[in-house]
Amino acid sequence: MMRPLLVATIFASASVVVPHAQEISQEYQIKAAYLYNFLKYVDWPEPINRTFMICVAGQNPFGSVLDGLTSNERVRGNPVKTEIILGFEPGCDVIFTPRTSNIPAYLQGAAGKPILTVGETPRFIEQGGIVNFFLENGKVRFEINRNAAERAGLRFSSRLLQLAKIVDPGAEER
Amino acid sequence: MTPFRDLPIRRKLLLLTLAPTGAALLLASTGFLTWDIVERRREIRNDVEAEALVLPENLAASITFDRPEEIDTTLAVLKIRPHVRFACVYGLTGTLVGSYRRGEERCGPAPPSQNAFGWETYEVVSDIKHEGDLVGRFYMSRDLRDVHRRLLVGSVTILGLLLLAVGAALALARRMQRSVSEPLLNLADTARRVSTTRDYSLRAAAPTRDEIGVVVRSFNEMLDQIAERTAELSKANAELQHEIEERKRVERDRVVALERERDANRLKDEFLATLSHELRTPMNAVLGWARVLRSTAADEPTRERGLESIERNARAQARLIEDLLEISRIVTGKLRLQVREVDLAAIVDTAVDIVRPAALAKRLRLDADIDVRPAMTLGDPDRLQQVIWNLLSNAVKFTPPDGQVSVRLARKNGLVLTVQDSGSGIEPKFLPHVFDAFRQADGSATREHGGLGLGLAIARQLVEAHGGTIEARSAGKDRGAVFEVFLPSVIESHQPVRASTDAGGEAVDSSLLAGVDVLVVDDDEDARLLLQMTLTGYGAVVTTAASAREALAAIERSVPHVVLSDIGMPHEDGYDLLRRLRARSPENGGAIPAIAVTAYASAADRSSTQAAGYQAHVAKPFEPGDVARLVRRLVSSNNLQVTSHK
Repeated sequence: MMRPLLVATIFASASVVVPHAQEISQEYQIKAAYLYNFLKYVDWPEPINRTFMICVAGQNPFGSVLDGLTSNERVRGNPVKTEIILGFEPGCDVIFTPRTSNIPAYLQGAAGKPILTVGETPRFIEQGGIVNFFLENGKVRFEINRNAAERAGLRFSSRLLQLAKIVDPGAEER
Repeated sequence: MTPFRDLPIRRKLLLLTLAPTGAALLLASTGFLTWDIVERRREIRNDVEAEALVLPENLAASITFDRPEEIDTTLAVLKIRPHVRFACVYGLTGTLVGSYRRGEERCGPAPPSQNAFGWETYEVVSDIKHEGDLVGRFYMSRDLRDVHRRLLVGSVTILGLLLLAVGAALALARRMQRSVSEPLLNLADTARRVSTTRDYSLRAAAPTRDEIGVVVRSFNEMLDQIAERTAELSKANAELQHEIEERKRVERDRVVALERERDANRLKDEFLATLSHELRTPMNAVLGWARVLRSTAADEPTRERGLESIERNARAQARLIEDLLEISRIVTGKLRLQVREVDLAAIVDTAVDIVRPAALAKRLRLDADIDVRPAMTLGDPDRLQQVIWNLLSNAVKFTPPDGQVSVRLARKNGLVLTVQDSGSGIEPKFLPHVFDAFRQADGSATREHGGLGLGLAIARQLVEAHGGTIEARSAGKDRGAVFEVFLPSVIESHQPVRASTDAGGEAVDSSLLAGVDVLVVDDDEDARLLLQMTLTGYGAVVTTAASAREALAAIERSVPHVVLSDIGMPHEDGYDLLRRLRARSPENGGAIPAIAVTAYASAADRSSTQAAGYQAHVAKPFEPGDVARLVRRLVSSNNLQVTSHK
């Protein structure tokens, strides 16, 4: 019962900007909102005095939803911008790799850089990704690889960590 | 209800102690409680508001990432806060996304717009933000009933403590107020008792050294002074009372004396009027007859009658004067009794004989009943006869013609002489005064009977001088009177002495004064002549002188054996004569015995003549025999001297 309400909230903020939001599935609408909100719960290593860049790799599953969420918003005083990328872009702060994209390529590109990599495939964390969406009881949840985050030089807010499923496999892989 | 100021001291003190204590405690505890509640509420407010700030921090992520179970978990920490009734978390659109509740109450569909610090609950609303972005709203309700409970418990506790404190204060005050109230109550009680009983010997106990003690001691001192003053006052009062009574008594005495004096004055006036009348009446007869006799036309029987009348009236007048002198002697205490053994029976006989002619003249029956013969007593025969004669002549005088007068002499514890008549009697009113001098039952000028009213007074004085008593009785006016004289009797002696009386005239002893030279000095020729005739009759050689000067000249020529001199004379009176005579040497007659022959017959006159140098005093009119015997006696005592002179 709560979930439709939460979705409605997200729609409410995006509906004006995205007239065809209905076409996008509820799952991605939520994922779009989460992507945007991750910006607020992650500390980037150096002060950022530029526009936050949220990049979607390959095929965009959010339609105009993500754009609608971010346009005219500011996170920690900085404007937020979304971009569709077809290859690794070092200017991205967040890279979302849908299951359709070439995930390892993007992860390789982002490795060692303060770029938050977000995926939605079961092996995303094994591949070295930092945050991975998964569905649990039909509800979107996410897991966080703290080792990968450390390697990227990113620090998660403890409150976010509380909500996430923590997976730290990186140590064996190394 | 009694106003405070009229309450008994004990209550007042208790109230004074309790009221401020209670008020202070109440005020302090109320203040403390209020402050406590306010403070408590402030604390709660801070607490709740802090909670409302901190919790939402933790909630923002859970809301953002749609984790209601995480919200509930987060809110579950409120369990440790028992006063939080419920907490609600609303999303951006106002939908409820998480809640916590302790009791039945549930979250409403929308949060209130602002904080509400109510009576039972404190409802606080706060925004849930993350990184400056509004995420939702937090709504929490804090139960304030614990505060009320605290207030209640505090109030009850404080009330209990208050009661306890007041009770303790009461107990203490009860104990301590005694030190103040008891002396005061004692003082009040003493004052009340003093004022009701007027017993100024009561004292209040003064055991304390405080101001009350001072008051009590002052009160006691005051009582001392009052008692002292009361005693003084009552003493002064008694003295005053005594003095007033004394003065009243003196005043009464004075009034009585004044009345008596007034009475006496009135009596004297009456007496003088009577005296004048009584003296004039015989004088009228004497002068009238003297004029008739001088007119030579009178024949022998008429002359005899005239001379008889003159003598009788002159004797009556002499009697009057004798009475006067008698009373004067009695009044001045100069009465001398020639006391010897006398036979009262013989004296009564004589007196009856004397009044018999007068009684016969009024056709009265005069009975004499004499049981005792002789009736010997000690007394002056002349005086006793005077008494009896007075009583008898009174009886005769006041008994109308054909009446009866009786005299009885009997022995009964002495001698009792009773004179009874069937005369006018005595009114009961006058009875007590019957023996008073100068008093007559009828004091008016129109009275029926003559006389000076001295007879009975003289009688009583004489009887009393003899150690006897006299009484008068009468059944009333016109029912006769009884006079009773009691005299002590003496053992009878065989030699009764005859009462001597000059009344009947006596035989003249013509040799009594044989060879005696007498000088008679008087300015009045009649008197001079009378003395000369009298003394010549007794055999004396009489020379006369009409004045003191003449007398001194006569003595110059020849010193007499005796000088008889009048006192009242023009130029030089009898006193002057004697002074000048006594100034001389015995050879020149300075020691001649002298006799004052004068109408100045009072006791004072007697002593004056004696002081002037007279050996004796003879009152005019005189009895010739008395004068002769007196001359004889004086000459005899001076006989040697006289003869040697011769």
